[in-house]
Amino acid sequence: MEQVDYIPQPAIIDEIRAETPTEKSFTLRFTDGKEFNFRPGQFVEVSVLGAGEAPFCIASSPAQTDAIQITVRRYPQGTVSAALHELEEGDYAGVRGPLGNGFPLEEFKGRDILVVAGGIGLPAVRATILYILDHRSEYGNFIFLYGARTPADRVYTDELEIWEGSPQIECMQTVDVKDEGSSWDGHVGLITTLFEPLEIDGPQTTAIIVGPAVMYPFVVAECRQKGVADENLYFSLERHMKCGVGKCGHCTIGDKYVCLDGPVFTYAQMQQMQGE
Amino acid sequence: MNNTQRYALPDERLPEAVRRLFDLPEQIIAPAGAPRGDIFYQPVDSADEIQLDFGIALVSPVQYLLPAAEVLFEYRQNGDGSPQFSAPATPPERIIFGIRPCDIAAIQYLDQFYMEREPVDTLYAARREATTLIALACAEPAADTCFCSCCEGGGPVAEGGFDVQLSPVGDRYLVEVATEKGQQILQQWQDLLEPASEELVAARDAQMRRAIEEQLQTVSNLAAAIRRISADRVNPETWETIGHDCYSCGGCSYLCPVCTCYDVVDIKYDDNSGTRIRRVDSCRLAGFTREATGHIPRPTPASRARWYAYHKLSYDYHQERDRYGCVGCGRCIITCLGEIGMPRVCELVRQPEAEKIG
Repeated sequence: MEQVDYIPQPAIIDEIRAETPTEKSFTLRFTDGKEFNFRPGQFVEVSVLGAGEAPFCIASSPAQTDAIQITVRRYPQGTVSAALHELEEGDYAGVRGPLGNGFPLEEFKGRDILVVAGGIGLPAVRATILYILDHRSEYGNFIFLYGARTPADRVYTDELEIWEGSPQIECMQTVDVKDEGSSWDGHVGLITTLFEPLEIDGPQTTAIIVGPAVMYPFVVAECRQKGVADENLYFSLERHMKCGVGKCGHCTIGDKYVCLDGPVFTYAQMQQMQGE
Repeated sequence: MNNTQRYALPDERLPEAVRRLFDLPEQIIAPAGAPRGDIFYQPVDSADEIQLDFGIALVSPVQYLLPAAEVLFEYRQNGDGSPQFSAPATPPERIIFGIRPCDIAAIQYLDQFYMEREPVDTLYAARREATTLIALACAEPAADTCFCSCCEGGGPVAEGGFDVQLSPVGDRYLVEVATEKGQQILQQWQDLLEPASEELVAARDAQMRRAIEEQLQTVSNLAAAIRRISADRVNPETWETIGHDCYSCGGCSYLCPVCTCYDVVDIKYDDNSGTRIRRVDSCRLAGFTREATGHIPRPTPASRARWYAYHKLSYDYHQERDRYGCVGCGRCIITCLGEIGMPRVCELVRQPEAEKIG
């Protein structure tokens, strides 16, 4: 039987990249020589010893097995996110995982894929996007919509530029508002405004939606409008998953443990969940 | 129960039976008095300290399997910053003597949660493996707050989950030995025991039925509440009423022997070393679901009261756990300042006006 190990795997911070004024990406390389295999959509518990442990989605490609990348927003109330932001390249962190179910990308083969990410939701789908690009011929049409509050709030801007120019993925970005003096000449408007011109074969499409909760009902409505079924709408939910292994009880919604039964759920499943 | 062996132990031989437990290498945990007359399950050194004439101990002996706080690991950072970890110490071998059937039922729930439902919690499993349970069945409800017959698998006499069970019947005890660990106790007691007559077993069972009947009203309220909660047919205003009386103190869940939620925190010894512990937490506290963003998914006492009742009494959880998350020990009734222990919640939920129509 599978057993819980509460002791993290040591990992050295190879690279730290400032994505925005509040977000940094960390490349964590494992020092124990073990291969780290995971499914896109899974998460890890990352430790800063003395400060604690917190859950972060794995933002790097599953093809890489000696290191992972996480992207962390610093919050005033977030103990571990603040401690991570204080670390420097060459410092150590700890990792437990991979945890959670991830997206069933095998099941999606042959289908059209629509990925919708809002703000800091992008790190949760980056592994999925990279995986599909690596296995491009196994999937149908591939559309990616990204919305951020302002141009300066966008993460992975270099990569977004590459994806926008790539024939492999139909990548579209929008910002809610253009900041003062910004050179942004792209689309301005809520993420839902990207939907109207899209040509989507609803029944043939699986949608993956990750972003702030406030975005969900509007994006769900757009997807339903295009004929995407509730059981083909996938979400990655967020809760404070303290243990990551279905024991500590902090992440429950109804009878589901987000950390163990999720974090990936379909909209059809979410409608069955009792409680908040 | 098929493999359970039954014996009779005359009352006057109980002190000797208890004394012989101290010949075993295990640490003995048993109900014993505290300075102001309270009863706690605590380590004892001699049979004289043990008190068996008590109602219900406010703190469940489940604490020896699920301590209020425990070390997950200790760490030390080497000169280059790389961490070294050490696992917690092996738990001591223990016998818990005099544990009530409600707490036995709680341990069955915990075994399922921590050991049968993957991934296995190795820290709990190690303690459980090192623990022998000698239950003391109740001849009558141990306190007027008892409602142990509420959920299947519970009741004044444990149906399973113990290694040895003593049921007081008149001038003797019916002794049941159910497991390998129980055999070790049996060996100690061999010459003290007599064969158990069918009359003794029948008398114990009749006594058990009487004890169950005394609890019937609470039990029927619970059954009705389980149906309403499972079908999500409880009027939101009922939860507001219950939430209004809840002080969000967490007392019910701290004392509940089946509550498992915990918090995880790091404690620094110095700049380079420290420990990570887990410690009891409560879903009744306002900050329980707080996220780094400051967002709190269950922000009101009403939303948390609903969650607590749902988690313990819904079919959804029952399907997964094989039993409801309440064993009827009544500790929530004793501790709740708002007088909304589990039976009162069920009574409110089953009232006609509590039903959500449609």
